[in-house]
Formats: sequence, C-alpha cells, structure tokens
Amino acid sequence: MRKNNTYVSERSKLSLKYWFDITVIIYCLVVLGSVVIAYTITTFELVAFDYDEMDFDAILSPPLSAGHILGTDYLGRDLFSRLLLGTQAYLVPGIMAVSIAIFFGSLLGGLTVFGSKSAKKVIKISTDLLQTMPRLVLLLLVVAIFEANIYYIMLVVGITNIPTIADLISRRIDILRDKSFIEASIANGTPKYTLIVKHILWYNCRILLIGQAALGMAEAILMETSLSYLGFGVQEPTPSWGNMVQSGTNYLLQGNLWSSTIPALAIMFVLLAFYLVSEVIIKRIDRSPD
Amino acid sequence: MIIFFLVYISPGESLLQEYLLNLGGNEEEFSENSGPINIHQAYFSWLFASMSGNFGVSNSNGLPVLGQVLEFTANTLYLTFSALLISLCITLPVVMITVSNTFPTLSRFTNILIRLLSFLPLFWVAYILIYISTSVFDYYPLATDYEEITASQFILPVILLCLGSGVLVEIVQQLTYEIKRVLNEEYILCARAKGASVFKHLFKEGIAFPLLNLLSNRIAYLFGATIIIEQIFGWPGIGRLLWQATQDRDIPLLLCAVIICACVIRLSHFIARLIYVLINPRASHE
Repeated sequence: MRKNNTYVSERSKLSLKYWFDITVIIYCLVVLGSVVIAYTITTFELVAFDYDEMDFDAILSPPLSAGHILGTDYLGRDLFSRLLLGTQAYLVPGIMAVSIAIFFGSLLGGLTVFGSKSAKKVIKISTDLLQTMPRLVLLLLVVAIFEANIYYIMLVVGITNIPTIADLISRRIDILRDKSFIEASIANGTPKYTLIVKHILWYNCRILLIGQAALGMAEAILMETSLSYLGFGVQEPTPSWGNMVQSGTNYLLQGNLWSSTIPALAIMFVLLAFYLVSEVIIKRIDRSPD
Repeated sequence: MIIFFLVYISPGESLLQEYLLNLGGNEEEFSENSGPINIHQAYFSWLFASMSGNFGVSNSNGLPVLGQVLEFTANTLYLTFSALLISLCITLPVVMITVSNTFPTLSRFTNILIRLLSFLPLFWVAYILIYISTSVFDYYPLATDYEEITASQFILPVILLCLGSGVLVEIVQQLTYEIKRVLNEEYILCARAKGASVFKHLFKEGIAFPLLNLLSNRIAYLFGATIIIEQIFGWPGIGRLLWQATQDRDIPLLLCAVIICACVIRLSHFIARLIYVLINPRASHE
C-alpha cells in the first residue's frame, strides 16, 4: 500500500514537471513562431499594414479602442502594425550578429585548444581587451565614428559576443578531448579539420551553440532598445520596438502608459522565450551522459 | 600577468584610433605636421601624447579633456560602487532564502521577478518607477541639486543600476549554484560529521571567491548601464559625458573617456585579483 502511494506521488510530480516543460516549449514555439510570421507577413506584404498612417482622432488611445487593437502612439499611428513591422528591425541584423559571434567564437575556441602557443597568447590578449570595454561604450564609439546604423550596431554586438562563445567552446573541447571516440578518430587518421568541425563542433557542440544563439538574439534586442533610448538605435519613422518604447516614454509621465508599455511587454515576452530556449538546452546538456 | 595586460590596454584601445584619425580627423595632429600624414604617424604621436597624460582639448568647449573626464568619473564611481553594495544587500538575503529552502515559493517568486525585470527595457522601468513615485507617493525622486543629494534621491538610480546591468540576476544565480555545489562537497560532509562549523569553509569557497569574481566581472556591465541611468536621472557622470561626446562628435573627449573607463575597469579587476591572492595565498603563483 505504502509502496503504491509513493509511486503515485512520484509519478504525479514527474507529470507536473513534464507538463511544465511542455508549456515552456509551447510558449517558446508560439512566441518565436509569431515573430517569424509577423516578419514574413510584413516583408512580403501578404497583408497590408499601414504603419505610417496617422489617426488624429485617436492619439495615444488605449488598447482595444475602435479600429486599433493595441491602441495608438503619440502621432496616432496604429501600435499593432508598428509592432509587427518592428520585427523587421531585429530578425536579419540579429541573426547576423549571432552568426558572426558563433562563427568566430567557435573558430577562436578551437584555436585556443589546438593552436600554437603564440596564437593562444594573441587570442587571450584580444579577448581580454574586448571584455574590458563596456559594450555600450564601444557601441557609442562606433556610432560616433560611423553612423547610427543597425547593421554596425549588430556587428559590434556580435564581435563582443565572441569571447564568451570562444570560452565556452574551448572549455567544452577540453572536456571532449580525453574521450575515447576522439582518440579513436585520431588513431583512424581523421584530419584535424574534420575532427574539429564534424566530431567536436557539429556532433557535440551544436546544441550548446543553439542555446548561445538564443541568448545572443536576446542580447541584440536589448542592446538595440537601450541604444534607442540614447537616440542611436533604429531611426524613426522605421519602427523598432526600442524606438517605440522610447517615443512612448516621453508621454509616460503624463499618464499615457500604454504606448510604451505594449512594446516593452513585447520585448519582455520575446526575450523570455529566447531565454527559456537556452535554459531548456542547457538542462538537456546537463542531463546528457557525457 | 595582469600588469602586463594593463600596459597592453592603451595600444589596444587605440587600435580603434587608427580609424578615428583616418575618419573623424584629429585637427591638432594635422595642424602640427602640415603636409601629408600617414595613419601610423598620427597614431603614434597620439599614443605618446596620451601616455604622457596629454589627451588634448575638447572640440566642443575648448577645455582640457583629462580634468573633465576625471571629475565625471569620480561621480560615476560613487554611483557604481554604491550600486554594488546595494546589490549585495539585496541579493544575499535572497540567496540565503533560496539555499536554505525555508520559503521555496517565495524564493522562486523573487527569482522569477528579478529575471523578468532584467528583460524589460531599463529606461522604461525607470520611467515607470518615477511615474509611480510621483503619482502614487506624491514625491519627486529626481535630484535637482547635485551638491546635496538626499538618500531617497540616490536610491532609485542605484537600484536601477543594479537591475539594469544584470548584477542582481548574475549574483543570485551564480551564488546559489556555487553554495549548493560547495555544500555537496565531501569536506563539508566531513566537517559536519566532526561537528565543526561548516560556515567557515562555506564562506571562503562558496561565497567570497565567486563574489569577487562576479563583482569584478560585472563592473564593465555597470559602466555600460550607467550611460542610460545617468541619462535618465541627469547624473553628471562619465556615461552622460560619453553620450554628450557622441552627440557632438567630440572625438578627443570620447577617446579620453573611453580610455579612462577601460583603465578603471582594469584597475578594479586588478584589485579584485589582489584581494583574491590575499585570501588564497596559493594563487600567487599564477
């Protein structure tokens, strides 16, 4: 009887955790999927959204008002269509930043383990220098030299992400190097390049890299938002969530909460989704036997 | 090893300067050596000048740059170090509650809350807090006179700084992880079996070392977040100076501010390393 009881309680606990995991995955899929759908709709103009049309009768109207599902901003522009269009500002530049970080990060991570001694030293010094600089300060420097362009900004975000990924990869390789399958493939005479790219990076680090990519996207969005506040993000009238929040906060102290709250919440939900993706992946890595 | 990097820092920063002298143009350099000037020449002349403490004159107001920057840096340091202290005051109880597992729901709730707050845009949170304090508590939290700042005017930027730079999230996560890890070690079990105090070992391995590491790593992030915070609260610090310099394209001021910033961060890493060696003499060989 008692045995049976414990069995039931354990099982219900397990199923609770299971359902939690399922809801997390569904949440991530829904949020990220809707971002992708919004992106495709707006870029290929499947449904016409007029993000520039001003409705002067409904300036700063709250959500669920007539004609505007999420209300309007300070010029009477529809927040919902601007929110959808705002995904354009992030998706391609964000993916660019992430791919730069991952490509060079894994390259440097491989080099720190397998490279020569001088290469290691150079990498160590350069990553140290990168980590000394606050990212926002570096971004301000770049903006001052060139111009406030989202692609330059994302380039810097990607480059500043390189050291963390390189560090992770090199640590992972350190663990993997003593495994017998690596020794076996060395004994087989596999070339070093194939060994690193196929056996280490692709078979054993791809999940880790996907997790890091999710975190990198989150960071890219957050960086663009804070640069928008300083006036160097995506420039109006092109909507991005950052400059939507920024223009909304100018009217926040007068009591018009919604026009900045809605994009801010959108940012939060999307970042949460990215974070959960990376969290689930890290959990999976911890659980895996190696 | 660290002093080695400290020396290396200035040429590293000024790799960017090669671009700058090329694109932004540093008038003094060009006027000094009239005629064609190559990048390397300009770069090295700039390097030697800055090494001897001559960062030039600001483009916008004509004052020497270094004095300005140092004055503003002091203001920022005041802000950042109080932010570090406050974040410790906030996070340590949270970590203790989480580790001791007395109120599991409460600790989970605070963890989720801190995590969610870190996802929101920092300036939006700041504006909401100002709005709440003015409309609900009928109190205006922004300082009007920076000679005398009351505690209540000081607390809001400091807390936001902790939040925005990810200090809170990082400390809570890493510290709970480290403490749990140390508590599972065998020597803790041994100490428990002997009846000795666990706290001494726990403090050194589980709290002091990770905290030092975390705090010194996070100072760079703090400096990044101060740019926004100082902008919101009108704090006369280095972040505001940087923003101003970027707006005006005041290249000498910008360069000097960036380098001083990097030096401060390096110095804090160095100090953290010294403290680490003091606590743990075994590490002095590294």
